Amino acid sequence: MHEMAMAQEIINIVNTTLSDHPGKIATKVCVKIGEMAAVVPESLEFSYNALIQKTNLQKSHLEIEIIPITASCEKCHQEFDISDFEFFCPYCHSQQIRIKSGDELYISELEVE
Amino acid sequence: MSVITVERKILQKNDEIAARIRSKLQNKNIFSLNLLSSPGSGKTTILERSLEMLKGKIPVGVVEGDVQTDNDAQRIAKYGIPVVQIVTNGGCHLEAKLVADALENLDLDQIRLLFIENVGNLVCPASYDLGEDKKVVIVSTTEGDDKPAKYPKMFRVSQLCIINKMDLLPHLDFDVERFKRNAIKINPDLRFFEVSAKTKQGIEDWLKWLKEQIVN
Repeated sequence: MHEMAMAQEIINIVNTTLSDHPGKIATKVCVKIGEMAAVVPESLEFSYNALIQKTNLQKSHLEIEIIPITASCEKCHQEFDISDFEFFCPYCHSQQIRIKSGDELYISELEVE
Repeated sequence: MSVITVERKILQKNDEIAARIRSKLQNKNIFSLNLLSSPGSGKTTILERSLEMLKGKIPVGVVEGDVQTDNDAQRIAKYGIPVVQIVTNGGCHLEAKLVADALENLDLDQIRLLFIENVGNLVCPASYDLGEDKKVVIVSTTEGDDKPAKYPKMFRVSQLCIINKMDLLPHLDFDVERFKRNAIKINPDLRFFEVSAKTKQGIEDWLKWLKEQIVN
């Protein structure tokens, strides 16, 4: 359950960001997670909510956006989504593909008041 | 209400430390491997066979990661190899910071090859760069040949795959070719080694590959 460690990293980053904005209180933390990131959103949310109890972040919540795995084929140049972790082009079956998204694991923005 | 743009990777701190480890190991001309598997696949036994056969040929160092106990470090120390144990106390994976601290206790001027044995787990360790040159996923034939489909990220991020316990194959339903097909769908560049740490079958091929990396 590495989601707990990741939730702690999110809290550290949010607090570092807030230290540049004195007097602001975080209400929403927007997180983008790629389907390839091997993070369970429910576990991340659960961990975050457990860790912020009785802290300066207790009024905030995570908003998690899941980013699908997308790729383009180096041979036939088609663009497509990868499903079931099968990394080949569904059009020409080439395995020479370039991953365009799906590995994300970052905080995009914070809503504060 | 206002919005503050952050655009920061959640594992940025880990990645920064991993980058420092990578450049430190490169400066010292050390080739490093992160060994990953589920518990019981034979990581430590493969390591022991490798150490036995590399002894006197290539100076090796080992970082052992375990949730509890230093049993594995004791097994490695018997080979007269410098070894540092990391006990994660419940943590399900190694992080770069733990490895960076462990490396402070190894004399990096005395080794050319570093094995980092991760905590037995096919999920969490896949997300954490430790600054290694290559990730090696180890699977044993007593596990299902659908492991790649169940743990795709681990197979996606690894460069090498060791299939262990090949000596047990006649007694099992594990289909090596089906396993490889499943793995290649996820990672076409994966390189396979079929070994038995017990009978030493295939260990020579694995060590030959290792030695080539160190010469280069």
